[in-house]
Amino acid sequence: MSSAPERSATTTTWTLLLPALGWTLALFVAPFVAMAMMSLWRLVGRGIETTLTLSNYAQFFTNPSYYQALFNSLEVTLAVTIISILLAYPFAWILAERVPECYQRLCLMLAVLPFWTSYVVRSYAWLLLLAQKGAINQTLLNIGLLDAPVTLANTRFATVTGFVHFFVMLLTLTIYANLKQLSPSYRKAAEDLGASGLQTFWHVVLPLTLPGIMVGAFLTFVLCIGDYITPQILGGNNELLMPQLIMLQIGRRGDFPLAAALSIILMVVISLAYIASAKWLKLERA
Amino acid sequence: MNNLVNLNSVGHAFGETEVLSDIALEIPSGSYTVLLGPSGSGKTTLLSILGGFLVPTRGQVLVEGVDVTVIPPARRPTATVFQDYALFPHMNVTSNVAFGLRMRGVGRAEQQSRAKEALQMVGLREHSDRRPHQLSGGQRQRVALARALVIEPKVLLLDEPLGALDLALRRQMQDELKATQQRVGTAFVHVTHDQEEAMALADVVVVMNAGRIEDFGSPERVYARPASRFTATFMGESTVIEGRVVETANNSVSVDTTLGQFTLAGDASVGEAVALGARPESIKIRAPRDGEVTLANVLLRDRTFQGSFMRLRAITPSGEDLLIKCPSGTYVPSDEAFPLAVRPEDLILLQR
Amino acid sequence: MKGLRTLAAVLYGLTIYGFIYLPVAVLVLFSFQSTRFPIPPFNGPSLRWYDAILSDQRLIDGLWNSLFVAVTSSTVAVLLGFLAAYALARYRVIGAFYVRAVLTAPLMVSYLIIGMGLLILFNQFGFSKSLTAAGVGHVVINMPLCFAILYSQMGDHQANIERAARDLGAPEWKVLTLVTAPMLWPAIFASFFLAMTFSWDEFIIAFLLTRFETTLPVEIWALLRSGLNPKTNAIGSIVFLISVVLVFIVELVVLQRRRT
Repeated sequence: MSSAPERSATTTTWTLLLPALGWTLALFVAPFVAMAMMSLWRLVGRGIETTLTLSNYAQFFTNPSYYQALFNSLEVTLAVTIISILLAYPFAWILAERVPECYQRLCLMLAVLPFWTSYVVRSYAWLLLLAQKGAINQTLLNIGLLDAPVTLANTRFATVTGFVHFFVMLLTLTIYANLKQLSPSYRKAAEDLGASGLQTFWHVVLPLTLPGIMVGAFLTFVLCIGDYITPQILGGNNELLMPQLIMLQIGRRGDFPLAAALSIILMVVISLAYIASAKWLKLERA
Repeated sequence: MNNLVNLNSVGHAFGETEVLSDIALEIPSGSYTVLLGPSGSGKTTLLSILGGFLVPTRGQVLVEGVDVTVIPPARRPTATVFQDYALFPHMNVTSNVAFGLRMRGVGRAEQQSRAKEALQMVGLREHSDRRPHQLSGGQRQRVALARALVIEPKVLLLDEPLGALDLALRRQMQDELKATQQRVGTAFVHVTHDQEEAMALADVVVVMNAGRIEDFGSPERVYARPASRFTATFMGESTVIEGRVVETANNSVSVDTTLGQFTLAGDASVGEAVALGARPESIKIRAPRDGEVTLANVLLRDRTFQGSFMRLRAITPSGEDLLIKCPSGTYVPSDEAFPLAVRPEDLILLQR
Repeated sequence: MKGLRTLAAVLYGLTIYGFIYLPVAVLVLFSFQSTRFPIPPFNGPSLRWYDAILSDQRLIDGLWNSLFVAVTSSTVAVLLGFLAAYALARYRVIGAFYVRAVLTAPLMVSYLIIGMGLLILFNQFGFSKSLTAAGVGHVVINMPLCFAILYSQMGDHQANIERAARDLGAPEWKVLTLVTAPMLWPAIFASFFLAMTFSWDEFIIAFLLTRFETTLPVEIWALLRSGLNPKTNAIGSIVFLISVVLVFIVELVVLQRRRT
């Protein structure tokens, strides 16, 4: 990073800054304001009544099928985060510790490569695997492990699988990075003082890789809870998650006020997660 | 007498490269041993082998007669203080120090009391609740020391422990290390490239170069009578003159050099190519007195002021470069030749 | 004992790799399906579905639209990010901390919410859905990233060289274009490439903000409505192939640089 800049701002400075700042204010901040306004209006018939009202929020908190969507999202996101961490940590460990140094970069690249497919297409590919007539069912039927096809698609299981597939890769990267920058002296010192491999891991390595896990977990949370594609393709419409609920309001009924309110609620949840992890990171530093 | 640690014919190679050859070393209990050498001399590798972090490709390591060559660090009666201290950043000072005790299954109460005792010994009792990043370099060093000593190892290994500290702090820590070693009585093996540090701390100094032991013994003896050219110029400075043995007698040799013939104590065979070494401070800037001989007549080439003494470079008629040290303020002629005197017993026979 | 642990590690590693590659493998394999459905059994390799997508004008249009939106929005994102990064790195701006916070805030917000906000705003002002609207949204999501990358790269080292240029008489705009930009070309390239990647594959904002002319992910989505179709396999495989080739090109460029 650079030291404090020495020249004070001139008109040139603001000319340079204005496009980016203006763009952000006009096309990021303003939409938020518009969305907040919209959330306080109401859909009446086909039009939007612009008297301020909290009815959209009230609807969310009173209608079970609405707040259930938030619970579903939180449950799915929590499950995805935990499963992804449990699967990714050993994988990151193997890549950082067991794979010879010269092959590590290649192995990482190979692990990331499949995610260069289009996100939409990747979720679709999981559908191919999990469908009634899909690859998994057919294979298991053919080799006799199953008598009848199992319902895998259009379930929460499918949604979680689709998410875990992506986030295992993401968490592998953050945990790997953390493991690599740990000084080998820590492990040597623990060993020297009598710790077994397992004790070294539990008392020294795991606590020191917690930041990598937390960063990955935070990213997982934010990206997972706001995602529309995976639950829509793989989860079907049996169980709705928040993004699906939001999109539903726009689709059929054109209920922008309700959609706006739901978006604001989702935004609040994400902000809470952000504040929690920022606080945790500060605690770690202290 | 049984030595605490014995190294028999230890050698180590990384792939094709041999980094240690034929190391035979004995470390007596209760001693402060310093492994001294330049980088690449293999001293750190040797320390790693002692600590169990490396298994030597050849040879054995014995501690109290027990072969520990392949035994991992966790089960060896050694403890290491690492160059970067390796204090666990997520634990406070007390937990760091108690870590080894915890791994040995010592009860919580006893862990705490013994850790606090160890911290008291290194003078850091009041900092027991701090985290490593809140401590200074010297304080971290002391915590690392306490952490290693609290598990009562038979040998304490120190890998360039004072390298990261500034000069004043280093001197202070050297005193503390020596005092601690004498108080605790554990054998210390300390790796350094700083010959002043070695001379200040060691009971036994082991001079290493290119994977071999060049010399070992008390600092006084190694300094006064270095066994090899390398030792003469690495451990302190020396003036070295090449020559050939022309005559031998009982415990003395006559060596013919470009500066003339000198007779000095030592054993060698006639015709052997040897070198004469002399410590710069044993060369006097005057004509020889009783019991001294003329070393050479030289012209001053260079003079450097070093505080309490001066370093002089002088050149002989035959072109040799001689290094001399004299007290500051000594008169040295700058334009004319002047004699240098030395006592024959200050001349060192260097055969390697 | 050590052998057993290595075996376990290898098995685990291979299992995870298998899990990661499973969808891609199925995707590519069944893109060569000769029958109607991209499910087992696999009937002999056939290129009929690749043919089908090449003659599907909507998909081809979607591809070009995606490329167009990606290139233009990334260019804008990099340009705005670069200018802002330079301003904040080289001048003392009052409230710089808050300016930086505002500029990087979009990184914290889900694309869905950004898209929703823009949709609502555009509706209020009567801007209709279009590729441009999607492009605008892509700039919103990519500019913070470009800014962050470029800002972190504008260190003291570059500042000194710029000072030298100014000392030799170069006016500010020349310093920017002839000295700063070329020096930072790896970072500029990296942020452009990253922005391209995110824009190229982005679905929800494009979905919300386009109507008739749309990007490839949205077209693929429409294709999905018709159920399991090997055409989707084929287009997915092509997109994958393009991405892989691009990554290898970047790797080669980066590796070349490292060797010189």
